[in-house]
Amino acid sequence: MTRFNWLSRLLLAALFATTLVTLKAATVATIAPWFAVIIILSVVGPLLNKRISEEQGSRDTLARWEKACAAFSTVVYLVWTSAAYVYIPADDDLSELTILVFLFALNIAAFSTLLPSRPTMVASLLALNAPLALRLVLIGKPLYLVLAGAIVVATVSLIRASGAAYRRLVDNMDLSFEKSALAERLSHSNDLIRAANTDLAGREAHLTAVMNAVSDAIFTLDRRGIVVSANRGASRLYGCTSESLAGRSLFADLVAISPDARSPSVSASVLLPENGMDSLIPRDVVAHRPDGSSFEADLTVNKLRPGADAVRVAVVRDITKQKDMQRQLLQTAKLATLGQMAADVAHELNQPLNVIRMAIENALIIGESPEPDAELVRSKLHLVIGQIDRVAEIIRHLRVFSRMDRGDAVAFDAVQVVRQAVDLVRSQFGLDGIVLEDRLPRAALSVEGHPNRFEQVLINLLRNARDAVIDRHPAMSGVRRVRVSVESVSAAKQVHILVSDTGSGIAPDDIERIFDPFFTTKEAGRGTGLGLSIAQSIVSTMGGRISATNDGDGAVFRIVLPHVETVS
Amino acid sequence: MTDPASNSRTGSTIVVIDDDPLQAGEICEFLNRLGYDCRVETSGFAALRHITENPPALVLLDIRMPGLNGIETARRLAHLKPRPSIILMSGHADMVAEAHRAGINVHGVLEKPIPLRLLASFVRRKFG
Repeated sequence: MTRFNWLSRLLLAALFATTLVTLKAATVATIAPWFAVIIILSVVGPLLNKRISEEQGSRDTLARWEKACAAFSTVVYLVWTSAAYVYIPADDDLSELTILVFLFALNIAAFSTLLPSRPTMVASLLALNAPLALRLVLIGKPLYLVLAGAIVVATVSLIRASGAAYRRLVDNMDLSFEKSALAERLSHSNDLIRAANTDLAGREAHLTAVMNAVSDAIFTLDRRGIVVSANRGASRLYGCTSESLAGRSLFADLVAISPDARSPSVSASVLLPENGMDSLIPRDVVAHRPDGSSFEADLTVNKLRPGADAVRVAVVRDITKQKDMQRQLLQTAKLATLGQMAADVAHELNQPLNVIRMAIENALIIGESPEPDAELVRSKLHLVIGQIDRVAEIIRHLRVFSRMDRGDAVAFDAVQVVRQAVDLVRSQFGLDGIVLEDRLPRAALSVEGHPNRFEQVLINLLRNARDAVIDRHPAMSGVRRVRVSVESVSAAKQVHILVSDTGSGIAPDDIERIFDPFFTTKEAGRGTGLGLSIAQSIVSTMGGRISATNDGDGAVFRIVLPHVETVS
Repeated sequence: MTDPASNSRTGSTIVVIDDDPLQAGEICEFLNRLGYDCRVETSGFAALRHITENPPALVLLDIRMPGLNGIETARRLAHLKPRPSIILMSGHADMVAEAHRAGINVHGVLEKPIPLRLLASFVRRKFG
C-alpha cells in the first residue's frame, strides 16, 4: 500500500511536470482546478483511510463511512470529469492525449487515496472513466478507440484489484475487531479474577482475624491428631509460637484427658472416632504447655466434613477461671449446708436445754418448800443429767461433721456412716411426719474415702427425699416414707447404698441433668442445685458412681462403691 | 391457792401441747404446783380430739411439732367455743413471726428455754 502510494505520487508529480511543459498556458489555467481536486483528494483520502482503519466500532460504522465516501467521490468525480470533457479544448492529438493521460492518472490517484473503501473506489472509477471512454469513442479515430478499450480494461482490472485488496482489508479489520473484542473480554475476565482474588483475600484475612481474635486455642489436626495449624489463641494459651505448635500430637503433647491418661493411642481412639460420632462433646482435660506447666481446659473436637481423612478442628478452652469459681461455689454451698445445719442444731440443742431449765427451776421450787421431797429433787437431777448427755451427743456429732476434707482417703465402714446420717436426720423426719426406714446389715462393709464427705452425700440424698415426699404429700396425707438400705454385692465386690422415697419421682427430661451443677427443680431460694453435683464428685473420688431411677412410687438413688477388703 | 376451774379429766383449765413429753411434763408439774389444773397432750390431733367438747381456758402450744404443727393447731383451736387463749412456745423466733403472719391471735409468746416464773406471770395475767 505504501509503495503504491509513493508510486502514485511520483506518477502525479511526473504528470504535473509533463502537463506544464506540453500544454499551452491557457490549457494549464483551465485544468488547474483538477489539480486542486487531486491535491485535496490526496490529502483528504489518507485522512479518511486512517479514520476508517482506526474505527474500532462495528461493521455498521464502517459501512456508514463507506457510503459517505462513495457519495462524496461519485459526486465530485462525475461533476469534475464531465465538466472537463465539456470545457477543456483539445486542439491537437498531443493535447488530447495529455488530457487523457492526465485524467486517467486521476484514476490512480483515486485508487491510491480511496483504496480502503471499495464502493467509493468503484463509484469513482466509473464516474471518471465512463465519460472519458465515451469521449474517446466519440472522436472515432482508431488510436482513440484503442485507448478507450485500454481504459475499459484498466478500469475493470482496477475494480477487480480493488476487490481483492478490499477483502484483505476487511479481513484484517475483522481480525482486529475480533482481537480487540477478545482482548476486551480477556481484560474483563482479568478484572473479574482480580476482584475475586481481592475478595477472597479479604475474606481469608477476615476469617484469620476472627480466628485470631478468639481467645480459645483452635487447632486443625490430621487424622492422627497431629497439629497442622494453630491460631493466635493457641500460641497465647500455650505460650509459644503457632509454628512451634504445628507438628505436635495434640493428644500426646498438648492435652490429657486426665493426668494419668497421656497415652496417644487410647486418647486418639476415644477423641477421634472414625465412625459414628463426628464431633466430640466438650470434656475436661488438662492442657500441657511445652514449658512443662499446665492448665485446666475443656476440649471439643469436630470433623470439618464426614469421612476418615477429614480435617479435625480441636478447640481447647482455658477453664481455669470457671474451675476456680466452681470451687468457690462448692465452698459456698458447703457453707450454706453448714448454715442450714446450724439452724437444725440450734433447734436440737434448744429442746434439752428447755427441759434442763424447767427441771432445775421445778427442783428449786421443791427445795424451797417447807418439806422438800428429796426423791423428787433427785429424779429432777437425773433428768437434767440425761438431757445434758443428749446435748453432748449432738455436739460430738457436730465435731465429727466439721472435720471436713482433712487427711487422705481412709477405709471406713459404710454401714456405720449411713447409720450416723440416718440418726442425724431422724428427728427432723419425725417432725415432718416422714417414716424413715433403714435396712442396714449388721456386718461392717468397708469402703474407701472421706467418711465425713460421704456422710454429707447421704444427708443430701435424705434431705432431697424429704423435700420430695413433702412436696407430693403437702397435707400429711398419703405415705410419707423414705427408705435407706445398704447391700453387699459380693460377686462384684461392691457396696450398694439405696435411698428411695415416696415423692413423685424425677421427670424423664430431668433425669439426665440432675447431677449437673446448678440444676434444681426446687423453687428459687430453696436449692442451690449443687447438692447432687457435689454428691457425684464425692462418690466418684471414692471410685464409685451414683445414679437415679424412678421406681413406682418415687425416686431411687443408688450409690455403688467398691468394697475394700480390710486387713484387721 | 384455790382451784379456779373444774378438776375433771376432760375439763382441765390449761392444756400443754408439746411433742416432747419431758418439756410438757415439767410445765404441767409447775402449773399444778401453782394450783392450776393442767394436762399434757403430745400431738395437735390428739389435743383437738380431747378438748373439742369442753375447751380449756388456756393452751400452751409448741409451734414445731410433727403431724399437725403448732400454727395449724392454733388455727383450729380458734374455731372452738369458748375460744381458748393461746400461749405459743418456741425456740425459733422465726416460727413466732410465721404465727403472726398466719393471723393467729395469741395471749403470749414464750421463747425456749422457758423461765417458769415468766410462764407463771403469763398464766396469772390470764386468770387475774
